[in-house]
Amino acid sequence: MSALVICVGNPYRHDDGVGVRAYELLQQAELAGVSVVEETGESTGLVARWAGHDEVILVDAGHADSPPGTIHRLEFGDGRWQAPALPGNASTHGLGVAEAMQLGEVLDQLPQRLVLFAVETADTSSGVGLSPEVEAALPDLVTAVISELDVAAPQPAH
Amino acid sequence: MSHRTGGRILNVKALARVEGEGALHVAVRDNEVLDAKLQIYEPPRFFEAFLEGRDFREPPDITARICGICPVAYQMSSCTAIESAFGVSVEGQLAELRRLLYCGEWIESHVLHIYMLHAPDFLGYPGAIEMAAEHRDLVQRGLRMKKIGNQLMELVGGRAIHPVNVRIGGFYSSPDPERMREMLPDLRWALDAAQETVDWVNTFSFPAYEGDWEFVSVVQPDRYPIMGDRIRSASGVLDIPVAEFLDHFSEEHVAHSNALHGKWDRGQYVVGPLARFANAQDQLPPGAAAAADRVDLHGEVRNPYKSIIVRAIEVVAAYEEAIRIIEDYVRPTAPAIPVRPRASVGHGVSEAPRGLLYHRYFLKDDGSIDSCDIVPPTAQNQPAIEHDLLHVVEDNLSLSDADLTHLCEQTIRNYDPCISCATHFLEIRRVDV
Repeated sequence: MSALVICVGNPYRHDDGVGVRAYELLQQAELAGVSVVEETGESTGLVARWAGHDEVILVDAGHADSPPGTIHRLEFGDGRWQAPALPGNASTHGLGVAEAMQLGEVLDQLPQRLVLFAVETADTSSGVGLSPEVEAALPDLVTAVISELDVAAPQPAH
Repeated sequence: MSHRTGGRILNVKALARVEGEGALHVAVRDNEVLDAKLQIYEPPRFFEAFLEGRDFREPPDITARICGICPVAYQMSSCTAIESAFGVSVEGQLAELRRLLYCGEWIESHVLHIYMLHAPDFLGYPGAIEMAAEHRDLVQRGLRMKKIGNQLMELVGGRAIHPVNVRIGGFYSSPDPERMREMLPDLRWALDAAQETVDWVNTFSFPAYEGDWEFVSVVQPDRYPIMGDRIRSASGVLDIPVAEFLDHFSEEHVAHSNALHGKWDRGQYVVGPLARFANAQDQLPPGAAAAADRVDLHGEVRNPYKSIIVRAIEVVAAYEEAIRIIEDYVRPTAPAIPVRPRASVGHGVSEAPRGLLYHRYFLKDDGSIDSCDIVPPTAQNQPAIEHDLLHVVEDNLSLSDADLTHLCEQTIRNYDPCISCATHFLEIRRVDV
């Protein structure tokens, strides 16, 4: 089945909205053979969404004590990914993106290839608009997703 | 969690399996519970302020983003509030479509809570992942049930998350009857699965505790309440039109939380499945009524841990209602009724999966929003949650800190609190290899 890009975010929490902006830009890019969707990040919704797709790219806001706007690339199973453990995790969601990967693994419902792009945030308080550093990272983020997909002749998205 | 000399302090900084964020603080000294506080980081009044000056057509799309798990509740309460301000009411097949969309949300939210968030507490697992490893078939059943709720949202709402097809007056387009009927086989499977879910959760053991709050919910004259224009308490002391809600209920600031606490002039109350069940058990559709009889639940269920059974009964009801609405569906002649803005105030209320959600809008002549108020269900339940915590801790002081903390978390999850499903950013820990 076609490659799938899942974007996660909330545009009313400043930089948490970076996934939604990426969603809009990737949709405009009209990538052949690629589905681009938005999700809330709730884990069972993610597992249901990527069912049947071999290649899945997740785009989300993230926090790893790096400078704002840093784009983290993590591939599931490459040994560099460590999900927060339940219970008592520091994730803002009870069951979120990290738990979706764990749940998919337990239920044998992981895509063959699962890559996460997470943009380091500066501000996730209530409000609209991205911080300048996160805004500036958008073109590189979109290019990184498109390169990852290896699709032919992508339209510039910005 | 930490011990201090002469007493015990239980602290949980971030609550797992609670939608959003929250923290719990319990203090005990000499076998006396001094304090039980639930801190909520709710997006305080951001959305109310954000909506000021905006067009009346915008709240359904904007407020849908307040909560990832109950966007339809925010859409429906805002739509009915603004429609009532403009003196119109959505009836007939359009109202049925709204109920169908709402059933999709109840299914999604309740099934997620039952299977992934609350059941692990009763079965002794730290979380859903661990439970899934040992109960694959059960979890797969829950995921399939939830996905069917998702598909209902997609069919009526245009997409499964943050539906885009909802507007003041109805919808942008009405769904195709043929496509609706294609869902019936899946819905009938899900209805059977929902009955099995009721029997499954009924086998759990429930801590002994009964709350002494009053039950408050929306009521509808002819059906189990989802959307309506009256609010009632199960004892009958309150029976008011939605426009009088703020005459009786208010919100107050408390020092330890940035969420407002719900307050009723008559005392402590709860909203949600237990309240709906207490007010409207007689209106459950036949399959859900039979399920309630089978597990011998009647009227006022005062053990909040048993809310998981009532949620399961409501899931049966939601599938039954979805089947009924689809079988009877005739495409409406227009997807929406016309509305004409006027300077006015409107009140709207509906039953989010976790309870009564109230909206009020003051509108100007040109249809712009002068101001608005949103009272979410979790804010209303917060005093009851803290009350329950006090008693549960008091009754279980012999437990270890770890077991007592877990019992407190389970107690909070009884209310399926939506503590700001507002940020979704991911905490990442990298390890160098």
